[in-house]
Amino acid sequence: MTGADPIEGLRLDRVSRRFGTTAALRDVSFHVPPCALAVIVGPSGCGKSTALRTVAGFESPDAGRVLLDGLDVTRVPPERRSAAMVFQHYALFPNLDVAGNVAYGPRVQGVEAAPRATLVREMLELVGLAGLDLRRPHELSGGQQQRVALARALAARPKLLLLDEPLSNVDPSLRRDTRTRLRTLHEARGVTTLWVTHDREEALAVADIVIVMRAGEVVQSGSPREVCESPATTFVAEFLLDANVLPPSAAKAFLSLATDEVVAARPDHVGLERIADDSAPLRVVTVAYGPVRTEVVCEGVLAASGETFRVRSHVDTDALPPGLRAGAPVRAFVRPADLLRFRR
Amino acid sequence: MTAWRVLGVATAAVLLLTVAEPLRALVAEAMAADGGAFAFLTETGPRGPQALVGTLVLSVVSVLLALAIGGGLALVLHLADFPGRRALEVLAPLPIALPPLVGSFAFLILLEKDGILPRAIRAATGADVDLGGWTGVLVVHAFTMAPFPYLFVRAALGSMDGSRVEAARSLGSGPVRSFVDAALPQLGPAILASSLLVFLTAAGSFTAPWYFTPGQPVMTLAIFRAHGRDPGLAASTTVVLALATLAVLAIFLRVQRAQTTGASKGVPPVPRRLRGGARVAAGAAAAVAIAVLLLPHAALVLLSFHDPRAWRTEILPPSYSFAAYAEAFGSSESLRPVWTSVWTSLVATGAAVAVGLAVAALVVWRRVRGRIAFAVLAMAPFAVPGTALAVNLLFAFGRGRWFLAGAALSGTVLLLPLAYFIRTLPVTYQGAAAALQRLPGDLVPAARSLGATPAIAFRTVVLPALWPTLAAAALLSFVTSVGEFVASILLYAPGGEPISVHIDQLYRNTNTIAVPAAYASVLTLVAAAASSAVRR
Repeated sequence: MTGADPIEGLRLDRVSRRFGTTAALRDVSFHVPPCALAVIVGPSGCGKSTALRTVAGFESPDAGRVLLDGLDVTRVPPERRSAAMVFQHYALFPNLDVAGNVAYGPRVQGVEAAPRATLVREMLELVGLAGLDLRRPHELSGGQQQRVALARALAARPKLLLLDEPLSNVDPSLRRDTRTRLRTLHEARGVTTLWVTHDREEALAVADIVIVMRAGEVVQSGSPREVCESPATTFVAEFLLDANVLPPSAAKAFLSLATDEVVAARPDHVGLERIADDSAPLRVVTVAYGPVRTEVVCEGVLAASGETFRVRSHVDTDALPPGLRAGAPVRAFVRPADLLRFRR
Repeated sequence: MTAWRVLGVATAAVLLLTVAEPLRALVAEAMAADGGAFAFLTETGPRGPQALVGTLVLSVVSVLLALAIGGGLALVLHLADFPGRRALEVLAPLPIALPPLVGSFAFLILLEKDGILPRAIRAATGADVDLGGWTGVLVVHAFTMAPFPYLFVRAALGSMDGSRVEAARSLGSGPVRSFVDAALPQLGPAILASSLLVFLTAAGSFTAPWYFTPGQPVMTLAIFRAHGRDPGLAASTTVVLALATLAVLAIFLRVQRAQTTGASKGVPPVPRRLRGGARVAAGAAAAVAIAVLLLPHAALVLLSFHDPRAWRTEILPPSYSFAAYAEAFGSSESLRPVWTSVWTSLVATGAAVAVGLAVAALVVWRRVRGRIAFAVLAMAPFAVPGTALAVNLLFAFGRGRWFLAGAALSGTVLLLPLAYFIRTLPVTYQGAAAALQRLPGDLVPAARSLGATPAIAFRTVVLPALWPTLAAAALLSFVTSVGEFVASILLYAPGGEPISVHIDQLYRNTNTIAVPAAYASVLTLVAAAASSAVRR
C-alpha cells in the first residue's frame, strides 16, 4: 500500500467508473471516519453497489482514489485490503459447515488452529449462533445464514466491514430486529462500516452518516438528522422524506402559499380539511388505513397549465376528518415553519 | 506471464495438438488422395456414395424409431399412472449405460440366425426368421438411442408450464386438443436436441453395422475397409462423413434458433391414474416393455454362465457353470486386456478432466478472449464419429512428426489413451462448464474479501463446489473409455488390445459366446454401477 494520507477511516476521492457508455460513478467523494457506520442509500441503478464493490476492490475505478486509514488502496487486490464484505445473498461456502465458514478468513490469514477455534466460538456467540457450528449453510434459515455471513466477515478482523443490502433477504417481520442487532454489533465491535441499501427507513435508522446517491453521483452526505432537516435537493427530500414537492404555482393553488420557490412538505406535515365546496382544487383519490396514521392521497389539476399534481398526507388515524373518502373535496395546509424551500 | 496466461497457452497447445492437428492432417491427406478430397464420391459399390446414402437413411430411420419409442414412453409415463410405471421410469434410461460393443454383442446372441429369439420363434411356429441384417442394426439403434429422446422429453415435460394447458382448457379445448396446442409446442427444443443426438450417434455408429451388416454400404464401415489399403480414400470418406454430420448439425442449429417456447412459470401436470381395462392393458404393456429393456442384459448374463458343449438346438442352454468367468479372469494373461483398458482409461480420464476443467475455467469463469475457439475445439470431438477420429489420429500421429521429435505413435499403446481423451473431452468440458455456470457469482469475491488469493479461493471454494460434477464427469469418461470399441479397433497395438477389442476377437476367432459374454457382463455391471453413481 502506498501514498499515506492524514485522514483515517475510509475516504473516496473523486472516484469515477464507466461501464461502456454508462457512467456508474461520477466524481464520487465521501469520508467515513474510523468506527463510524455509513450508509449509502439511493434508488436502483444509482451506483451504490458499484461504489461498494470499488471499495472492496472488485471494481477498478477509471479515475480517483480509495483510501483506507490513510493508505491508497486503489490498486490493491481485494484480499489485501482488509475490507470484509457481507454479500446480499450471503455467499456462504456450501462445502464448509458454519464453523468452517467463520474460520475461513483466519485460516487463509494463517491464524493457528487453537486461537482460530476460540475466535470462531467468540464470533458465533456474538451473533447468537453458538451450538450451530456443524450445520451446513443449507440447513439454516435466511436470518441464520445472514448472521453466519456477518460472523465470518467479523472473524477476518477487517479494518472495514462492507454490507451489501444485508436485510434484503431477511423476512420482513424480522428486519427491524435484525437491523437493531446489526447496529448493536457495530457499537460493540467498533469496526468502520459501509452499508448499502435502497431502503430509506433502514438507512436513517442505523446510520451515523447517510450518503445519498443518484445517477452515479453523491447528492448529499451527513448525519441522518442533518440530511432530513436540510435536504440539499428536491430529490433528497422526495427520496428520503417522501416529501410532496410542488412548484410555486402548485403551492399557491393547492396549499394557498404565496412563494416564488419550489417547496416540499413531508406527508405528516400536510393537514387536510373536508370542505363542502365542489369547486375545491383537491379531491381525495385513495384513503389507505393505518392503525396510527392513515395515508390520504389527493389530486388536483392546475387550471393554467392543465398539469395534474398529487398531494400525500399522513393523518393521525384518531383525528381523521369525517367524510374523507374517494372523491371528497378537501383543502390541504402546511405550517410555513414545516416547509422546505428550494431555489427554482 | 500470469498464471492465467500460462494456463491459456498450455490449454490452447493441447487442444491444437490433439483436436485441431488431427483434423488438419486428415484434410491434408484427403487433398493428396487420387481424385482429391472427394475421391470417395468417384468410388463405386458399398465403398462409394451408396455408403453415404445408406448412412443418411439409417440415421433418419434411427431418429424416427428412437423418437417414437423414447418420446412416446416419456409422454405415457408423464401423463398416466399405472402398475409398473415406477419400474419403467427407472429402467428406461438403462440402455445408455450399455457400451456400444456390449449392446451389439448382446443383440447378436439374441437376434442372429441361430440366436435365442429365432430359436424361440422356430419352436413356437416352425418358421425360420432372420432378425439380423438391417433389422438387427435398427433394433440395436432403437434400443440404445431411444433413451436420448426419453430423457430430453421427460425433462421438458417436468419443467413444462402446465398453466398453458389449463389456459387452453379454460378457453374451451378438450384434453387432447389442449395438450397438442399448448403442451407439445413446449417440447419442440427437447425433441430437436435429442433428434440431433440420435442422428449424430447413428451416423457414427460402427459396431451394430459391423456385426449385422458387414458387407453393406455404411460410411463407418467404408472408412474401416479403406484405411488399411487406401489411406487417401479413407481420408476422403472421413471428410465426407464429417461434412455430412456438420451440415446436419448446422441445419439443426438453424431450426433450433427459429424455435421459441417463451419463458413463464407454471406447475407441470400430474399423471392421471388409469382405471379399469385401460389400467390392466397399460400394466401388461409395461411388463412387456420392462422385459424388453432387460432382455439383452439377461441374455448376456445367462450366456456367460452357459456350457457351450451342452447347448445344441434348445432355445436356452440346458446347463450352466462358472467356467467362462474362470477363463476370463483366472490368469494374468486373460486379465491383460482388462488392465490395458483400465490404465488407458484412467490416463485419458485424468487428462480429460484436467483439460476440460481448464477450458471451462478459461471460457466460463475467466471469459478470456478467444473463448469461443476454446469451446468449439473442446466440443468438436462430439461431432466427429469414433471411426473418423481414429483415422484422424492415425494420420496425425501414425508417422514421425516434428512435435513428437520424429517418433510415430502407431503400433504403440499410446494412441488408445489419446483417442479416449479426445472422445471424452466434450463430456468433462460440458460438466465443468455447467458446474462453473451454476457456481454463485459471489463465492470467489467473498473468499477474496476474507483474505484469500485467487489461487486459494479456487482451491478452497471453487474446486469443492465443482467436485460432485467433476467426479460424475470423470466416472462417465472412465466408463465410456473402458467400453470404447469404435476407435480402439483401428488404433490398438498388437498384444495391447483393450477389453472391447478382446471381446470382439474372442467371438470372431473362437466362435464362442460364454467367455466374451462373461467379459461383457462385467463391463455392463461396471457401467451400470457407474451410471447409477453419476445419477446420485
